Amino acid sequence: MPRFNLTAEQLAQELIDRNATLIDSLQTLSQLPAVEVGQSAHQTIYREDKLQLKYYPAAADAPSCDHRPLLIVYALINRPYILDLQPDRSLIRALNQRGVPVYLIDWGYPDRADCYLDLDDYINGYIDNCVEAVCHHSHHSHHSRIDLLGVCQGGTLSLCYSALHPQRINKLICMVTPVDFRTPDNMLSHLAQQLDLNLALETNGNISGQMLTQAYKALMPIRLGLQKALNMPNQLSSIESALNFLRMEQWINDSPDLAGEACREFVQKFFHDNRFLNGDLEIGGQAVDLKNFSGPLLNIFAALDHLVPPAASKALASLTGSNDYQEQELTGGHIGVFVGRHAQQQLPDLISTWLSARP
Amino acid sequence: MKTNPPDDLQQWLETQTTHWQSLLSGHESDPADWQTLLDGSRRLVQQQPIEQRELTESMVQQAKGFSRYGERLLRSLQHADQPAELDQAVRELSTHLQLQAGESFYRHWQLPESLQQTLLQLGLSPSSFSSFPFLHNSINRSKDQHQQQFQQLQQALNEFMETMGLYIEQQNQISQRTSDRMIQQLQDQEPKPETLSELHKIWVDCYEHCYQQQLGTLEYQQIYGRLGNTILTMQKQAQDYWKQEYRGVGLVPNSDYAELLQHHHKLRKSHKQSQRQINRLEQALESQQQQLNAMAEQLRQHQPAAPLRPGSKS
Repeated sequence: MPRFNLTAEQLAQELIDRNATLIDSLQTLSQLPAVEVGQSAHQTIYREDKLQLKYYPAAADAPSCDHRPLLIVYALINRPYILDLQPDRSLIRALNQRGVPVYLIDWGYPDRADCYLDLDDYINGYIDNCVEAVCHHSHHSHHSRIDLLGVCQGGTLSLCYSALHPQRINKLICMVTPVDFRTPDNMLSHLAQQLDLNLALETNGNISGQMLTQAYKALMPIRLGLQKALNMPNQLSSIESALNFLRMEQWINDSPDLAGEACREFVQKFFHDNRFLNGDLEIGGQAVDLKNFSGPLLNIFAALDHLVPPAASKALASLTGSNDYQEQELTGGHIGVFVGRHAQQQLPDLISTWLSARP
Repeated sequence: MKTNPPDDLQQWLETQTTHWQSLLSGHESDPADWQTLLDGSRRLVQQQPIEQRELTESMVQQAKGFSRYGERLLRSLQHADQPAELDQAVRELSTHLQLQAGESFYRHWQLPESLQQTLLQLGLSPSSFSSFPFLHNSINRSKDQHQQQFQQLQQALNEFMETMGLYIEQQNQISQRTSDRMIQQLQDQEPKPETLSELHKIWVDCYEHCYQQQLGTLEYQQIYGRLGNTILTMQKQAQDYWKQEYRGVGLVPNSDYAELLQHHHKLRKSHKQSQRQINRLEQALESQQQQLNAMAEQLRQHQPAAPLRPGSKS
């Protein structure tokens, strides 16, 4: 019984074709213009240390529904421009087109001077100051409460913030947000359990972004390494597809260092102690109880997410105090949920419809 | 609009194509030199950012590996309709891909350059002694102290090497299981794969499956953690070593700088908290002032008309 239907002729042709594609892709690479990301029009309305708060106004021709300002809190890991990767793959632009004014926290690149920043600084300091800045921003000064959207770790921070300052948040959206950090399918958590973050902090101050990128790649080493390199010539067959591919590559490798103390605290409180589930979570000396926030809450997660498995997000249902809780599972993985082609319609529709149904 | 590739790359492609076509017809002709392609591709993308140059390098290396194995399989198919044994063919593919992937695996655990320097510095390789010769002229370190630090680092290095051995063992187990799984899959699967790319993909799927299983075991997680923690331990020991050196020549060591940063952070935090408190008080004050103004306005509006003075006209 044959084990593969592969003849010498077929194989020779495959090798010839593959090398022709390789040469073609090298030619494409040599002719590429600069790779640009985060191109949607915006202005920076607030700065603090390395942080910038960026404002993306609703499109002038957007349907007029009086949306509250939506503040997006991205993770401290990687860069938030994944939400505005390119004009036709931009959640922010799609929300603007649906009339939602967006504010985005860009955490910048922490350096050695930031290594003692803790979660209190991020949640009760930076995020709170950004909420204040959004409320005071001239376009929306009539809103004393805003809507908050947290992405991944930013969702965890947003949950803490809305529990600590429920009076400031009208509605909350969590996207691919880990809540239960100890689900059996959470491989990142398994690896994180074994690392001595105290020693890392003592040794390096901050946690190297490059090391984090490697740790993520270590979850699927061959698919994200060898197989990707092998398929690369196909991705580089034209200038347009090459730019799409390279924007994504730029984002993957653009990994800021993490402020050491905040990282240590996050790993200890969430990955090790799973404090949302086990209780006794404190930030800056204040108890964090997810029951404190009773406003509308939309919890979005991705069916094929290998970094934050759906079960890790779904745990929120039994912990939140929201009197209007809704869950939505989307197809795709952790990043595909933002940048996948179908995500450009489905996700912004979901968010804007949910927001406008709850003034 | 894309232009044609440079002549040297076009020539390379033609030579390689001729080589495979010759093989097919049972003749031999020299293969193209992959180094020529590598050099040509480097020249072609030399104006591009470093990330793209690295991608190019990696792409060419993987293509080289793919072609190398492809040619082996091609020769094998030339001599028989199928490789002699399925097991053998799959294990060859597995070994080949494991080797291809190995470099990136172990790069993950490469010791940081500064740490390598310190290990050398402590006498593990005296030939590379000192990137800071001025320091060594000033060292007044006692032999005992030096010996102690050397032993500590040696111990950590031994642990690292031992753990790396266990890690390699884990990788071998994954590789073995991948081959077993792939053989099973090729026996069961219909339709059979028709290209080397499909075979590759099956191997990757099998590998990731087995890798995930291994990753889920406490043993693997502990080895992974030990490797990371041992590197950190060595880095810390190296810092402690340099701390003494720096102090010895009147420079500020890393740990002193960290203390300053911590102090600076406390001050910054305290300043920001005070600023927030001031803002809150200002807002409260402003709100009180507005209430006061409103009350004053109300008072003015409700103030009774001034009483008439005697003698005035009504």
